[in-house]
Amino acid sequence: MPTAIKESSPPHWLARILAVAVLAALALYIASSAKPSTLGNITEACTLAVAAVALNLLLGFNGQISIGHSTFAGLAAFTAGYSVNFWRWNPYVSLAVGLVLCFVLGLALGLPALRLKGPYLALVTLAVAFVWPTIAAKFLDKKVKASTLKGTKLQPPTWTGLTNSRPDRAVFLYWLAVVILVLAYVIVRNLRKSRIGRALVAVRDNETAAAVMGVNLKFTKTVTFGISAAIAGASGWLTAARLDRLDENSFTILNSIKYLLALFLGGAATLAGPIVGAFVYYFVDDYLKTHAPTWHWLPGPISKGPVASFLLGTIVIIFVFIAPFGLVGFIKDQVRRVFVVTPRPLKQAVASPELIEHTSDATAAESSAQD
Amino acid sequence: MLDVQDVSVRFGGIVALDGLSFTIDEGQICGLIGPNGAGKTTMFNVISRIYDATSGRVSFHGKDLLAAQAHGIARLGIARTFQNLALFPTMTLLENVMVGAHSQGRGGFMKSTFRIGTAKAERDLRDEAGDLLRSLQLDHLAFRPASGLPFGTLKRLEIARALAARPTFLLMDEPASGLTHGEVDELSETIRRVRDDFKLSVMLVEHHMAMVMGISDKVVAMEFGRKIAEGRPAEVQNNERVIAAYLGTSA
Ligand SMILES: Nc1ncnc2c1ncn2[C@@H]1O[C@H](COP(=O)(O)OP(=O)(O)O)[C@@H](O)[C@H]1O
Ligand SMILES: [Mg+2]
Repeated sequence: MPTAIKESSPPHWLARILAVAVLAALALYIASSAKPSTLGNITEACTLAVAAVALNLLLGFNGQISIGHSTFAGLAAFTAGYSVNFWRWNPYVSLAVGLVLCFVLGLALGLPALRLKGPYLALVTLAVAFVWPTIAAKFLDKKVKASTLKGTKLQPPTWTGLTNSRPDRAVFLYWLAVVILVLAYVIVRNLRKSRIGRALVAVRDNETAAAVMGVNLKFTKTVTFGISAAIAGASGWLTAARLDRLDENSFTILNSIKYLLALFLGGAATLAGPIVGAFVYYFVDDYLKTHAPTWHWLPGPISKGPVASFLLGTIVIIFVFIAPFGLVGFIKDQVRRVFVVTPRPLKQAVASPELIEHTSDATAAESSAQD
Repeated sequence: MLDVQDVSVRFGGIVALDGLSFTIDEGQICGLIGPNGAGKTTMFNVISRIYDATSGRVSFHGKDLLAAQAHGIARLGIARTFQNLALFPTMTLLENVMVGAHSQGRGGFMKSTFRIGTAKAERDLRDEAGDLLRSLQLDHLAFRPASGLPFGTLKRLEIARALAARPTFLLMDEPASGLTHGEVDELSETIRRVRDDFKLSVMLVEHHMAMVMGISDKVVAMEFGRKIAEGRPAEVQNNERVIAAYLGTSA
């Protein structure tokens, strides 16, 4: 029998505070002891995680698929690169403006999404992701492509005590990525646990019923698309902050597919899933890139280089079959054998007593024991 | 209160509703009967604005219902249940009922994103949803997801969810299907109780004749999208066309 912990009871709060404290300590420890290259890797993993969190809001909770999220990341990255280099904008202002642009483009893409379902929506967003590099190549000359937030354009503020030396800069970008990831997570978590979050999931589960309950499908779906696009934009801005150079191939459909794989690996429609998935995906990918063999007997272009992405794709597909709710679903199942959190029982005092003729004897403890 | 005038609905060549008219008064329970395919569910879908009427008018408390949007219906005080269940399977029973109250809530994307000043409303909503689950004897299942529970249980959940919208008019599409005899009697009791407690008008589609006739203040009988009888239960029950429709097409 697993140990039961009551939701919002002191032990539950303690466990939560402990979890946050451990994570914060880990983040601090990494910042103070990791090599700049490792910090760079973690920053990249966080960047991927932000995009996966964005996609989770849209696909995991609202049931709308997008293979075009790389486009939003690209839009915000180029917005930042261009405005900071050519108009001398403050890099944080460029972030805000990029997010707004992504939100608006997301709304616009969300409009066709109203009429399209499943594979058709996937196709439209796929087309956007496909067209984007062409547009980027056409409108961006060499100078623009080389414009990122590198060097002196995005410097650690003095209050951090960090200089713009290479190691300090790695620490600074690492913290930026961590903070943006935490913010993205908190936004999606808040949404999920609120009235709007329930509406999002209701729309995913049964559109007609959701509308009958009073959920405005058009508004809900387009705004969700916009918010998700803006969060993906934050991921793109982080990319512009870290890289020395961007070009039309920086944000292709392969990036979108990476977001999807990370999300499903970690567990769609769970809050931690996209983050866990992104980290595992990133570091397994990183490992395979240097350690995977080259298999010449494979057909086509995959025979030419290491089989890293081929292997990783296969691993994710097999994994999703074994654990349809991803790593987080799998971990939750294991944890549930040891600990269960029983929801706060329903209030017993009754608002309109005349209504309640048959008060059920079942206590909350009994009902959770049935689970 | 509800005034349906000459409503027709066509799907390509199929005429699902053919000039249907009837009225329901405040506080009434109106039974809507007819063989399968008569157009009962289609009528519900027109009222809840899921289907567009090809022609005709529907007014509710004098307001033109057909000018409203599907998501605006709940706010006007109309809630419904679905014949073939339209629950949110991944959500718990409690959450299903909480979504039922969506039209009663405030707090859009902004408030939800920052979760400022929503705690009390959420708590109250949770308590209220809990009360509703209890009143339909579902409270012991509150934290179970809706998927996988027995049909009869989910039918009751549909009622709880509909009531969460604090409707003044409740449409129920075959609520007794899949229930045992004893459960049907209990359901009749529940519907009456709910009507009185919540001061509801009710429109009830049901094949269970004893139940409809026992509970309804008036009955509308349909066949092939048309009204064939309207009146007190006893009158409709003895109407020749109604008897013919039932002996002819279903039994
Ligand atoms: N969405 C639809 N598309 C096409 N035909 C429909 C649709 N909905 C209902 N119908 C048709 O309308 C008629 C009435 O159906 P319905 O209202 O479900 O009947 P009832 O609920 O009385 O059994 C049937 O012939 C049915 O096939
Ligand atoms: Mg029907």
